[in-house]
Amino acid sequence: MSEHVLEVDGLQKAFRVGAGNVVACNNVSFAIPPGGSMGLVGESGSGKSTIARMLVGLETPDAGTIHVRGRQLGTRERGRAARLRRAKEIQMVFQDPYGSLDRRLTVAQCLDQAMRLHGVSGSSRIAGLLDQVGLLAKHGDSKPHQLSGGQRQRAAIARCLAIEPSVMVLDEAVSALDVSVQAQILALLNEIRASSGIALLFVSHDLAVVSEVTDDVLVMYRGSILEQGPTGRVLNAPEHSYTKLLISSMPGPGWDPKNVLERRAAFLAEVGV
Amino acid sequence: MLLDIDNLSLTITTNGISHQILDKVSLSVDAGEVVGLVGESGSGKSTTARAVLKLYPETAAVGGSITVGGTEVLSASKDELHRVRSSEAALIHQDPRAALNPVRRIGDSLTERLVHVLGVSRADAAAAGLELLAAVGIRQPEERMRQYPHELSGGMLQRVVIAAALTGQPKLLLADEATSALDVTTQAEVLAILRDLQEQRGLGVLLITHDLHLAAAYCDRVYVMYRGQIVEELRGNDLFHGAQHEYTRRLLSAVPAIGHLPKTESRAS
Repeated sequence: MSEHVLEVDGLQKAFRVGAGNVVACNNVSFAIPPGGSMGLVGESGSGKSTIARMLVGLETPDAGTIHVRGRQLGTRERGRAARLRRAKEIQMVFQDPYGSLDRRLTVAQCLDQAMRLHGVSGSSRIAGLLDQVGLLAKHGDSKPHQLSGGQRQRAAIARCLAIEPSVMVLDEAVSALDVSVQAQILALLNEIRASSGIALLFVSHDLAVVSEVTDDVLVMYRGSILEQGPTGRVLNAPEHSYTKLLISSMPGPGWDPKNVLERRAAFLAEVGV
Repeated sequence: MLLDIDNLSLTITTNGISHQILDKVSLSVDAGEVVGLVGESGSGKSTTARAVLKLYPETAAVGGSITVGGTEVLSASKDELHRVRSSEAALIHQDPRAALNPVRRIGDSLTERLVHVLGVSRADAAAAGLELLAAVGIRQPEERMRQYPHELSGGMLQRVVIAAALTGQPKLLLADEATSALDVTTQAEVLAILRDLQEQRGLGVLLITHDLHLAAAYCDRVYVMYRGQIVEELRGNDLFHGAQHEYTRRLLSAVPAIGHLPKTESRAS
């Protein structure tokens, strides 16, 4: 079949807002090879999170298909077994691990529960998983509130790894972390995909972060992909005026917010808003 | 000096254990100056900003002094403190949705300080509110005044919060990660507006941020905080190349940038 772990084809989604429709995802197609990492960037409301949510089954696409390792995922899973099967293929890490970890469970209990839920054997793997994400054995006995933000995000990543998914979707997973902790988590993600072959979809508004963990990148605006290609090429030699706008918006040497506004006005005039 | 913090120390004791949150922090902001305060979570940035308005737990042990426009805040009487909070200094937080009451109209939140604190009539307050919304670049201000927070985008709401902070005509703005939750393009828009207002009104701004690139590009001077202490003070332009302190250098080396990989171990420290 296909050599890609994840293949998305012609994905379409519109939301009804008031009297009209907002197209959150317009004919989006992309593919990620084993161990590959795809970035998905754009501003709020561009449709990044809608794509992430459709992949994990939190939203139902209006049209289009999602294949994981050549097998098509259903658009609407019925029953516990079907939903679990889907969850085992694609796992998601959210921005706020405090909201996604059960505060009553220790990290070890959380990992154990995830593995039992998915019928993956092995409380014996817990120590290995903790080590894989750079947590110490003692952190297994900690509850989320006893951990730092970075440690909590490591625990959330360990929970994903516990059930051995094919694809990990990270939705702004490092956005809330301090730069030094962020750098550690990014290095960890690079290590994971090199060693496990898990494909990553990395959703972020932060281009610099995306440039560090992805091979390819999709630039989205209002539901459509405006530019895609190897991350280095897209970020260093952007072709689309929107990508150029995004890059020039990032504070850096010589950055002036006024120039950004001019570029934005020029772009909006170009797309006719 | 508009804001002068001198040897500020703050210790909080919980369950018999003392935590020193701030350790001899000294910094200053002059009128018309944008000063950055950077550092990691827990370094004491927000505590410092909140202390300027004397917003800390009553159980905290505080030493040193904070002067805002000539008024010593820590020893201020209730009336003096009221004046500092209502018309000398204003604090803008990261999350505008938490700063605005979700079941009240934008106009009510915006004019609240004028009507209830400064005793301005409702009609005059509404007129001032409209003017401020226009000043922060909001189109159709009349319509926005009647809307509720959930009807506006995050960037729009943060501009409302900035407008609300300006109602008392403060001389000092304390912006605590005020643009961190916004998109880069929206952030640029809000900061351009803030820069204009700051220049027109001669405002002093203390900009708290974890974004070192932003601090370097936007601030005249930058203070680096680490574990409750100011470890370094630099000109904004010099932040990336002139840092002397080891902590500042380590922090800078962790900042992601397009086309460069940070040399960091994946292990937790």
